[in-house]
Amino acid sequence: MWTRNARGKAWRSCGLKPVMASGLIKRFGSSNVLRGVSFEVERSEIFGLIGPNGAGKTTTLRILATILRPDAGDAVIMGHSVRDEPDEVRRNIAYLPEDAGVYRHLTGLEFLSFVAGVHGVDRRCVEEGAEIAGLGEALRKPMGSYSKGMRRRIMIAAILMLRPRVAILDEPTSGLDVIHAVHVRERIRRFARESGGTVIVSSHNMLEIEYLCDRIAFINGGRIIAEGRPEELKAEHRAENLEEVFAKLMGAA
Amino acid sequence: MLRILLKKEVKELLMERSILFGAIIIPLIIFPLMGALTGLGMSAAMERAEAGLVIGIADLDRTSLTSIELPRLLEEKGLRLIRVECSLEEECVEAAAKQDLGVMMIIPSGFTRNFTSGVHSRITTVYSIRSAAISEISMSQRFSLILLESFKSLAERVHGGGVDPRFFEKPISESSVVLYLGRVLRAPVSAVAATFLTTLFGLPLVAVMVASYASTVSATSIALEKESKTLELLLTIPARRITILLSKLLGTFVIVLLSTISFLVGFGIYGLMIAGSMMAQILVEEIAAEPQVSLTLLDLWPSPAFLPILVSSIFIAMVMMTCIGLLIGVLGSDVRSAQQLVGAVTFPLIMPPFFILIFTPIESLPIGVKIGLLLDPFTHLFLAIHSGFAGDIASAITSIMVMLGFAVMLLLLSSWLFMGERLITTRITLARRRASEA
Repeated sequence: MWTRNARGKAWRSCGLKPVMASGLIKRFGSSNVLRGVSFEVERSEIFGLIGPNGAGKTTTLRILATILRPDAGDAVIMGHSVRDEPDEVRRNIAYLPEDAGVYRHLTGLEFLSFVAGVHGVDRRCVEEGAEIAGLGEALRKPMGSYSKGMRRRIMIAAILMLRPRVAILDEPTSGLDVIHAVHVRERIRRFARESGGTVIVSSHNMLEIEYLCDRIAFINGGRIIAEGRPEELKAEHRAENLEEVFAKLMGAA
Repeated sequence: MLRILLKKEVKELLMERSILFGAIIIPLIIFPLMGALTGLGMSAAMERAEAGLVIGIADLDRTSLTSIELPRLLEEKGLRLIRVECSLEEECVEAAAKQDLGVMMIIPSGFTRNFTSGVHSRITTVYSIRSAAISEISMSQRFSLILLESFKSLAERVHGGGVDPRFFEKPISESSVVLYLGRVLRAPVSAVAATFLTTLFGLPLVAVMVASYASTVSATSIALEKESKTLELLLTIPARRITILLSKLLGTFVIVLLSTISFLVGFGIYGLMIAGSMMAQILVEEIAAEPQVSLTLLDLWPSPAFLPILVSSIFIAMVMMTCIGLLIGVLGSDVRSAQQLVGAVTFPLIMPPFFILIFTPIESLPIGVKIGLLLDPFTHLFLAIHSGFAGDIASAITSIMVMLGFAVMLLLLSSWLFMGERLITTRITLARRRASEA
């Protein structure tokens, strides 16, 4: 295992990948949720995790976000271990939980300011957040009055306005209608392209994953069962779309 | 329709284990237990006090009625008498303080002349109150009754009949002097008792309210993050977990401080209104013949050290309860279950020492009960307030130090819980609730 300093220096000097997960194992009681998940994500890359319910997607993302600690294995984000340097990791990431709620008594603008404040970023990014959210006058209303879709948009805006080095998005378009989902996907792509940030995203929506992701990993039963570019995976499994790939992989599993 | 809905409501609520436990089973166990322990302690204290109830008599009248007849009557009532030699009332009060007499009666010169003429006579009683427990105050009031009964008997022996019947009803008026913490208070013992009761009940009640708010607010603060699903977001901001914990603690303190101010203002107004009417009643009924000054808490305020003792003990109790609330908030699955758990956990911690120590000094309790109470951190809150009020600063500081120890322990436990993933993974979901959700 690398030491803390050696790893940080190695990452900086050798240009290691922003996200390197290696042999992640996680158990809850007698249930083995992750059984050795490994993957790497490049800079500016959008990496998708796909799998059925209970496959281990959210647990993997929670480990990357330092909310959960792996029982074995490690993930290194921007040269920092989620096991040993969670505080450093948190300075480099922004995490959108799958069913993230809102502070009901804060207005949208107050929430964006709060997020900007705790991340220590320029308050001007709040304007960008407001623009990404596209909620207009509703930004001045308490978030308790927001619909599910509006809440999701303000949460995504709060993540993207920070321009984090690594954005971890669990089901980013869940609860959004088609028009807003398209808008959000476009913003995520723009974020990766323009800011050079790395994005890890999980979704059930194969179309979304196909549109968004440069590379994807199918996860099932706590293991990655296939990984590659969407086109490569489709070709390898002789499928017309990722849904077919998914069905074949699940059938094989 | 109503019957069906009602049946559903009652079943649903009773199946909620925290309601069943916190609202029904705990009171059924705790209150009888507290009653038994309090009764045990009070009767032990009363028996001890009664067994050795020594009364001083300063006879300034020196007649056969006051030196032979009256003492004989008092001895018949089971009192042990000590004669105190003095010539002026002030001198007698000083003698009572010096000889550490619990109660002393001063019979003024000219008493026999008035008494045998059927004229309402005045005696002075000196009560020395050493602790603020109800059992000791009760003893003073009990003596006052014995005295009245004795003088009634004496009036019947002397007069037989033929005087104004109102004289038989109340042949004497009692003017009392209360010795408390080296101070001489010229006030009816019942007024002092009322003020003591306000203190004994009021100050710990403020402490209990503050502490209870703290646990509810902090438990809600965590549970709300869980229920609103904002906790994961909060845990991934680039802040140390200890900073997040600190913000929760300080946030709770601010809210509790505001609620304490509001509570104190409301309670103060209530207290003033009640005390005003009570005091007027006491003065009219008991000391109509000789007006005496009314007492306030300030008259009994023991020493300048009491305020810092009071404030610091309430503050530490607030810290303890905030930590307990945070722990419960982590264990609860949502706001409702967290608040129910707060009640179920804090009620048995606070109520027994609160009620037992109001009635009985801890020294009077059986050793097993005493040890059990001392293991409860909130016993030390009430001990600190009682000791501080009685001027026993060393004991009050010891109690505060014990509370501080508990508070540090709970703070460490809370910060341990905030580290790593425990905040997300630690949870108690009540079995029945789980079953109903399934």
